[in-house]
Amino acid sequence: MRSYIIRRILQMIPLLIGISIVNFTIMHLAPGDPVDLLVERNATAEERARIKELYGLNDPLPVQYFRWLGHVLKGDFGKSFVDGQSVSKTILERLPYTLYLNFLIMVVIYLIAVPVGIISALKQYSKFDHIMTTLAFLGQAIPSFWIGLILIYFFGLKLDWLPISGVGTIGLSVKTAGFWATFADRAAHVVMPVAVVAFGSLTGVARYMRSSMLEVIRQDYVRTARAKGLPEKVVIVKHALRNALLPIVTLLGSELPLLFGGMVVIESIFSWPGIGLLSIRAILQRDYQIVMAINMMGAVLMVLGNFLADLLYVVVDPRIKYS
Amino acid sequence: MRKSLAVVMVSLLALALVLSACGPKPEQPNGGEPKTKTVGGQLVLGLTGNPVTFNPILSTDTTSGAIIGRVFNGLVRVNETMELVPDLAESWEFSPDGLTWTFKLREDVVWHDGTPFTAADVKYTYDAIKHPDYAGVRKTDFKPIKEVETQGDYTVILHLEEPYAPLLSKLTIGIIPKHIFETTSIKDMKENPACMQPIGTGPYKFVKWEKDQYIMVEANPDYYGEGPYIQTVIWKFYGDNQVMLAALEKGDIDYMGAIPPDDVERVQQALASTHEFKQIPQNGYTYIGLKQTDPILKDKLVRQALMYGTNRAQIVEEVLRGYGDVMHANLTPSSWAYAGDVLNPYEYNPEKAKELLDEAGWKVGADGIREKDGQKMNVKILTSTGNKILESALLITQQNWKELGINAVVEYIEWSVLCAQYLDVAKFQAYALGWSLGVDPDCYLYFHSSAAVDENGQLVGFNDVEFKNAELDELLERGRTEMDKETRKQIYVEIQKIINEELPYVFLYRNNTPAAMHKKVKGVVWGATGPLYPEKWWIEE
Amino acid sequence: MSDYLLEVKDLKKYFPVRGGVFSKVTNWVKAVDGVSFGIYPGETLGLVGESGCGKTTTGRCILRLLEPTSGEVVFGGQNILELDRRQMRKIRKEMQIIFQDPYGSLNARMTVGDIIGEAFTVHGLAKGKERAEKVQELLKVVGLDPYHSRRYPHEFSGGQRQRIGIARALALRPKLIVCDEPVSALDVSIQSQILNLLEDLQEEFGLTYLFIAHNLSVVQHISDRVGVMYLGHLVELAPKDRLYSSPKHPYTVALLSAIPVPDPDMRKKRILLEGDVPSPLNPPSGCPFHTRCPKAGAECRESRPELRELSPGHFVACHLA
Ligand SMILES: Nc1ncnc2c1ncn2[C@@H]1O[C@H](COP(=O)(O)OP(=O)(O)OP(=O)(O)O)[C@@H](O)[C@H]1O
Ligand code: SF4
Ligand SMILES: [Mg+2]
Repeated sequence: MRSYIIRRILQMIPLLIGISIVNFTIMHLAPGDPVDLLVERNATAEERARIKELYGLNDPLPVQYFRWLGHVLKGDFGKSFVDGQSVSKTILERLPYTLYLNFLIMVVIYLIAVPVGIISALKQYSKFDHIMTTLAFLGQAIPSFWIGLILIYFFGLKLDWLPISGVGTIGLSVKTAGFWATFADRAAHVVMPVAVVAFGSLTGVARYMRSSMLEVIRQDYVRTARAKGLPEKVVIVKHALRNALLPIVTLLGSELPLLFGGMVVIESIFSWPGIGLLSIRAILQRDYQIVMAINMMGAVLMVLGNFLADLLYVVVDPRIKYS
Repeated sequence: MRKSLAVVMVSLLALALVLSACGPKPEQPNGGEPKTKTVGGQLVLGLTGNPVTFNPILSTDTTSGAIIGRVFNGLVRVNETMELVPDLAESWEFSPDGLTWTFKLREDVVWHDGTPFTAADVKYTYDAIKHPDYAGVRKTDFKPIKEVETQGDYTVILHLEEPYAPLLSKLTIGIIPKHIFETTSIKDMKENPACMQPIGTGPYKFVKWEKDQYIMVEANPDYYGEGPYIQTVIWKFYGDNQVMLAALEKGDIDYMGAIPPDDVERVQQALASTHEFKQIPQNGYTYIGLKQTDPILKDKLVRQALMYGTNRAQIVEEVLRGYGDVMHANLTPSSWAYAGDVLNPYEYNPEKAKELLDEAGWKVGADGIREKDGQKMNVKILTSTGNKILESALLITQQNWKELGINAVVEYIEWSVLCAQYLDVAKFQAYALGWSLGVDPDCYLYFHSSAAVDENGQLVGFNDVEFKNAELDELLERGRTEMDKETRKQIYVEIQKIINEELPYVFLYRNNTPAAMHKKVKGVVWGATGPLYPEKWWIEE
Repeated sequence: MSDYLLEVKDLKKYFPVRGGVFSKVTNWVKAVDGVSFGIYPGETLGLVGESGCGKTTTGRCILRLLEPTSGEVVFGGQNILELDRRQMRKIRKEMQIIFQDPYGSLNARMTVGDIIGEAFTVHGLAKGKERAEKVQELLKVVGLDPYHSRRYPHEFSGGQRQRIGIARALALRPKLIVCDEPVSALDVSIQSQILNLLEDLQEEFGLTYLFIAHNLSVVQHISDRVGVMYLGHLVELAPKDRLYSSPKHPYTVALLSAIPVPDPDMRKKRILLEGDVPSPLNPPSGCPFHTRCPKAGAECRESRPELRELSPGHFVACHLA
């Protein structure tokens, strides 16, 4: 097992280097020159050349790449050409918001989707199951920005129950309002973003859970369990559910990279200062350093997520052993 | 997202848009003259986009500009009639040859950190822009300055290479504190913390910036001018206009500057009792640039036919829902040099357009498309993706042109590709975009023959349509060197007449964007890009 | 006859067929359509028939692993279809099942010890060390090593897994075990080992078997009586020797002719059945076998033959028998 882990980690290195080369190349082949961010549109050739020289943009691409890689390996993603700030710092500023939102979304999705999926599998073809199937279709068909706007209109504006956007009321903090008031305020702000994303992906996870469960309850070992005279609850939870959860657990691992940039629309609608909003702004502003850093972190997370999913399999499934 | 792309696009070109202001007829302040101006309170403004830097000499976007305008001051500022009036400079005079400009500075100004403001700060700011390592978009503006000289703490003398009248309008740029910035090299200026936590001389002091959430500034008690009265000003960020609209209706924000035209009517009804609705005339316009060397478009008759044959009034009525004006030449009615009635309005007249095309030798072919010498009248218009209003306007244009027998195709291209592969190398037949204009009517860079492409095919200025007219060249040169405002106005009227006649562009429209301000905010003066003189507003609950 | 340990009366199981967007029931698969038979204590009743004729469904309905559509399953004088869940769980101690698939029938995430021992726990029979001992005892009985109890099913071969399945079924000392093709998934070399084990266990524990198989040769060895199913119906039921020596139903005759005979001189004429088995979705009217029956006449197409007792203990459902 240990040798497997070491081997997998070693395998990641060339993969990540490959991704970084592609990433770097694409960014530099994309139309528009980074120097355009630094000079006027009608700057003279000499002015351009001078600024390019200053920022090391005159060097051949491989040289630029290795310089960049060298810094990245030291954990330094450089400074943004656009605002001059440290890229790592900019991303780290955003990360807590993204993690916070994603964590809540995951919790809500799994807390709701798993039981819903199980119930509709056990009550296949029931009304509940039909409603669930319809909702799943809607959740996937309706664009989330649309759902977001509708929620904002009804719950934010018409009913006036929830704040429209942001992570909290300006000026309200534990210091000024006490813990519970602050907690309630933050919670109220997070309800709609969580609800929108959860609605979009919850139904998918529920469907997944449903089919996984359906698959499992048809298995002979579930019949075996029933034949033993186990109460139905034990049959479902201990025998069926544990096996049906297996693919769901590993789904978690593959969702890890979505943290990076997977929430652009929601973050933008609800003014949520996370990575998604940062990445879309960076792309629009051609902030190469930030885009490359986010891409790289996304790639690392994806590779790690896969690895984690594989390891999770070992934990949950005794049949699988890596050597 | 789309909106912000458009914002970025326009802002890159905007030189002094934020500080520029105007309006042909300045409005009276809300509710007449005050009895007592209340001090205190909080004003919340809605904003889209993301500020990049609060350093006035590096900033390129309107979002940063809104904040910079409250925190910094230039030597001069723009008043509601778009004239330049004293700000940090009390007074100034030009030498008779126009080469030496002497500014007398206020002596009662201190930076937000308590350090006194002096001529050294002015020199530092202008020198920084002129520095070869300066990576920003103000370099061209300051090229005419040969040297910045200080005399004592409160006199700045600008030595010019040649007389250059538009320079004064560039001096609206915020002065930055030397004592803060001199610790970083010019190349690394962006990294100075004061770019994120600005220290200025303005009526408001920077307090806090929570990225993508809000920016907060507070009243500067040591401000040298009148005010400020409102204690706290907050800009809240919205990634989507519909959400901002909901925030306005809910009362989360007191001001929204660009209400989508389609929503104005509904919101206006809903908020009639609490909000005042205004149109903000934009000092900029949208046009279709016509390559002057193109075999089809090089003929003036054809270009005029396109003006007559495009139903621009319909575009303003239907696409802009009336929130705009039809443009006839290159200055908006907001400018003090606007030519007005002397211009040919080219009212929609497809018959006249057809006559002109016939006259130019373009005859309708069997397929309904005009042709001449075996060449079909095909026009390809390039434009950038992401501007809904322009898209609809071009749809009408295309239809109009079809009726004339012109086959127009619109091609949508991503902004950076459009710039890099077409506009900056001046390779296109026609393209549709917009310009944001500066305070000064100077348009040398857009229409002077030397601002077209150089011998390497590289665009020098912004004259990508390669418009070349000796008479206009001469007027443009005089317009820059003439220091007398009245004479300049005559020159620019002439310039507009030539452009109106020769048509480097099909001029389309300028927007007058609808805006809403809560009625509790008093003392607001409405200018070209929105409400003016924020330090003099106060809140009456 | 009340001396049956188990009596099945007119058992039916129809599966719904769904279609359309809203998964409406559009049709029914008549997997088991009126089957009746009884099993005496201590005997082995073989149940044979082609794939899809409803053997497994019958077996599962008897154990209420499937809810029958109608009919009665009388076990120990009690119709178990009338029992509530709790009572049903109790009765499970008495009737068990061995599945065809030795891979799918064992929960891969449980150790062998847990798979076998779980029943003790749930019925409150043994726990902790006592449970472990009982499990090890059972493993020995089915020919496995006691230390195997800590292993997971995937660590065993098919034959070993089937032994685990048998140990599990045996754990609660049931009276009846439904063996649903317990050897068909195994190598031929292992099949007889398992069959012998089952026979030994029957003797040792006085078990009663319902032994399901899809060909007559496997049941011949182990059964006392044999029932033949076709398309959801029981078509012939007789003591083993009678059935093999003088089959009365044309279908049984055809099945028997398909059994490979060791001595080539004794080779009989093989009756090849023509055509496919009709779908239980649209069973033929009249005798279900008439579409393939070499003897079929007009009557066969119109009326369904009832199961009749031709001679004592020999039941046949055929007009011409
Ligand atoms: N859950 C179910 N839903 C619908 N149809 C089913 C279901 N289970 C079985 N059937 C159908 O019922 C019929 C009888 O199936 P069953 O499994 O009882 O046959 P079998 O005799 O055991 O066949 P085999 O020898 O292949 O195991 C088949 O046509 C099968 O397709
Ligand atoms: S009833 Fe007729 S069809 Fe059916 S088995 Fe007997 S002879 Fe054949
Ligand atoms: Mg079967």
